[in-house]
Amino acid sequence: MFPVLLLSWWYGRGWFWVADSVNQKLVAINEAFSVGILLKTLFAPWKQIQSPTSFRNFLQSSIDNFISRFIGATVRIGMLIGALFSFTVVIVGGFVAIILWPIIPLLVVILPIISLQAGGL
Amino acid sequence: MKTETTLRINSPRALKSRYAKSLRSKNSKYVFYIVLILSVFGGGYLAAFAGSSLWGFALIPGVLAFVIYLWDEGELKSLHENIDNRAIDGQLSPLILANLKTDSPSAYEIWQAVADTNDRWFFQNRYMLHHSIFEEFLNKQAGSAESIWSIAFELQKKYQTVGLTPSVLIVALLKSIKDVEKMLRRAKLELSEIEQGIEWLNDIEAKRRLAKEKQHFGGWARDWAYGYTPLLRYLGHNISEEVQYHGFFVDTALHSQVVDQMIKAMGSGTSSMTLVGDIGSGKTTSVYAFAERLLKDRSVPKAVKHSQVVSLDAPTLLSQTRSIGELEGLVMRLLNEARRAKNIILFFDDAQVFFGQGTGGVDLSNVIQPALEAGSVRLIFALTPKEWQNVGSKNPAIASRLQPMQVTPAGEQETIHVLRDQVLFIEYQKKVLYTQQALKEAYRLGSRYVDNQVMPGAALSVLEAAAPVAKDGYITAEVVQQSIESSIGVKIQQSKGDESQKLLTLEDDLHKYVINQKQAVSVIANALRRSRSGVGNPDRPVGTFLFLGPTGVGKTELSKALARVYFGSEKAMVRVDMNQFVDPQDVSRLITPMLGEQLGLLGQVRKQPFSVVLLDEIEKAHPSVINLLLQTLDEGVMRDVDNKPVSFKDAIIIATSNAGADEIRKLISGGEDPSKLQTHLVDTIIERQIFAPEFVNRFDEVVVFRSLTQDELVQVIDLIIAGINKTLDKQKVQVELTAEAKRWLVDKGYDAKLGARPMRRVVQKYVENILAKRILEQTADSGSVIKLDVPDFEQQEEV
Repeated sequence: MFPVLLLSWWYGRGWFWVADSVNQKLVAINEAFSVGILLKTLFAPWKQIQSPTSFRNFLQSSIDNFISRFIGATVRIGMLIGALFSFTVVIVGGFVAIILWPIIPLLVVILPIISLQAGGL
Repeated sequence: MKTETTLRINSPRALKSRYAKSLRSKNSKYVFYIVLILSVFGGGYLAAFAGSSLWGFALIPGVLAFVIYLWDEGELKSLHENIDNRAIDGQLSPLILANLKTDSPSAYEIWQAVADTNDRWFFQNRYMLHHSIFEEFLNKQAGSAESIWSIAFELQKKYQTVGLTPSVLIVALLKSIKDVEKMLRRAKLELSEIEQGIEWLNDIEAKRRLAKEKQHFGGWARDWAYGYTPLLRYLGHNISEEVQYHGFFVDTALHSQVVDQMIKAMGSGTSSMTLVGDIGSGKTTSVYAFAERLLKDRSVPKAVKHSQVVSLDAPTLLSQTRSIGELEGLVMRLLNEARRAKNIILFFDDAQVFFGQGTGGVDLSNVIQPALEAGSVRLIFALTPKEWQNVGSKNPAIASRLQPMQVTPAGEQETIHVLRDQVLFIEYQKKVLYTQQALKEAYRLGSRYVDNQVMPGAALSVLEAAAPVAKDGYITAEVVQQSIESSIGVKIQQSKGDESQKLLTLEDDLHKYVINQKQAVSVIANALRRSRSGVGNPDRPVGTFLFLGPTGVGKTELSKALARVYFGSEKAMVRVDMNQFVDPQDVSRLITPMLGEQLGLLGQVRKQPFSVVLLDEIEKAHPSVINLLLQTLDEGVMRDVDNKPVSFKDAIIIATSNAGADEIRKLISGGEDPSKLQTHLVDTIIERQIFAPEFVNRFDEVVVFRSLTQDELVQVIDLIIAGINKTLDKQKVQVELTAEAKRWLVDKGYDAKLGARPMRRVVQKYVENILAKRILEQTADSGSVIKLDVPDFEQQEEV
């Protein structure tokens, strides 16, 4: 019964399990990189570093605040690129895993055949 | 869907359970890794270096190990969550399913299947449920498990467990045993409590899962849009970070209502609030729960989402400054930093100190008030109701800006829930284990003896204090009792051995100090026996007595004797002269625990609850004082000036009075039987309005002390002489009086109105003076017995 139970899971709920694992990794990346927060605060000043604005120092404070927002946006965009890269790796890796999933148990048969063929037997 | 009541031990789920069990064995994980590594390296070697075409075969074990590993991870490990509602084997925990060997097991075989699970050890350790109960009393006949399955399904439904867990089956097995309740009662347990063990295990499992789960707190970029807080980081304690990095595993159900209110208020624009609750009610815990919700709960309003709660304490701030001006400046900088950062909520624990109350208090109202009025920084204060009242009366402007949130003390069930969570941490730190009975006892004793905290804090303090006295690592109800007994000096455990013997012969011991007054001695001895055998009402004082009688008949002496004989020393007597409480304003003096440097009545009882409280000359007290005593006599509680209860439930309260003394003398000289005087005398003192009927009726007994006869006064002389001899023991000198000498002393000192009171003076004048001279003249050598007779006294009188 062992192989029957194993294979029935592998080609049944196992496939969904792989897909779910990929999904969980995507959620974890989304959380770790704070993607939602980054998008919402993309142009917010970096760490609230701002000059108080008044009529007399309007120009100076505007420049300071622009720099703060610029730094903030740069760092956040850098982080978003990192998140995008991680998403890509997981999506591609997950896609490959889902495609290869049904083949893995068959390797028990496939690998000896390949090795024998490669050896010219 | 209808549940089948059949068990198939060869169903796919049962087989998977058995495979899972094999894969969970001790070394299986290493076998997997070794096979995988050997296979990959072996295949690689054959292909690359040996030029063999058999590398594919070498990789087969590795592929198989990998596939089985994934199956285990993907399905077998979560088998307990995959429940099939249609059959028993679909619902049974895989741990048990793997252990069952037949389709129709006996009750005993089910026990064997659960016996090696963690849940079995949980019940054995937490409830002291010995396995012999199951071994001896469970049915061993095949197929006898029918009833157990149905009980188990009921329990599963009741406690919402995922399938038939080992805990559910253990309780079901226990419930199936005949007369189990009687057996449990012997261990001071009830079935309902054992059932709650299922809930307790569910909670532990949930916490275990929570600790393992990956938590989402907002990610790396969460705080990039908020300001730097270097000073707060240096001087404050970031509760949110503590929750994030170390976890928060306290059962927050108790304070969920307060936390909801806090989130709602702060989310809707209220900038500051005060948590008002007694010490131990869980104000700080509520703030931790609040901090956790702000980080984890996606449904909290945007205004507070991901906000950081930073706690500030007075000692840290004070240590950084040299003057109040510097301190104000520092707090101002901290408030400004919090305001600029935009994601900080400041928490002032023990906030009374910041409003100039209590030890080391500094008044920072000048700094806090403008911040509150501007509403630019969010603040949470924690205060007791009295401290909040003080803030309200001294700084109404501040109080009006703070939204009060009441943190109420927990009830028994809520406290037990909190304790179950908290003991896990104490157990880990102190390497001990608390039983369910210990938790219950901590609640009972905490509410009775810990008067500076409310629940659940009070019970938690009791449990923490009990840890050092654990027996073999276990903290049982008895250990908790012992711990309280040694720290407070009360007697909680049922009397046994020497103490029981002492209680049974208490009258004899008391009569060594008090002549006659059999009724008084008897009622006191009976009250103590009732209390210490557990028969008496534990929610009232041990005994309340009104002693009526003339001066010098032994009323006070009996109280002293009781303190000496049973409570260990005369110091265990708290004596209050009620003639000092004759005005209405004296009430406040009576309920003030500290009178200057000295302890007042309540201070003494709080320090020494197991005592004799003697209210001397009660008839002289003002009616307001008497009214105050009514509740104490009834419920064993008196509230101090701060409205904190002081328990008199372990005390014997004795009130003495001379009221009706003339009446007693008149009636006794008229030949009336003293034992029949009580009703008549009570009527008389009520008629004469000396005491109100409701006051007299509050006492367990009204005891009439009759005047002592001359023969009895001779016995009093004997007692006084015995006392002198005890004092002379050190000098190895003893004194003896002839019968005539004793009679002479009685004649000399007899006063019908003053009873035995003049006797001590007479003995001092005649006996002690003669002794002193002889010792100084060295006519009484060490080891000698000085015999005194009438001529000695007459000679002394001439002098």
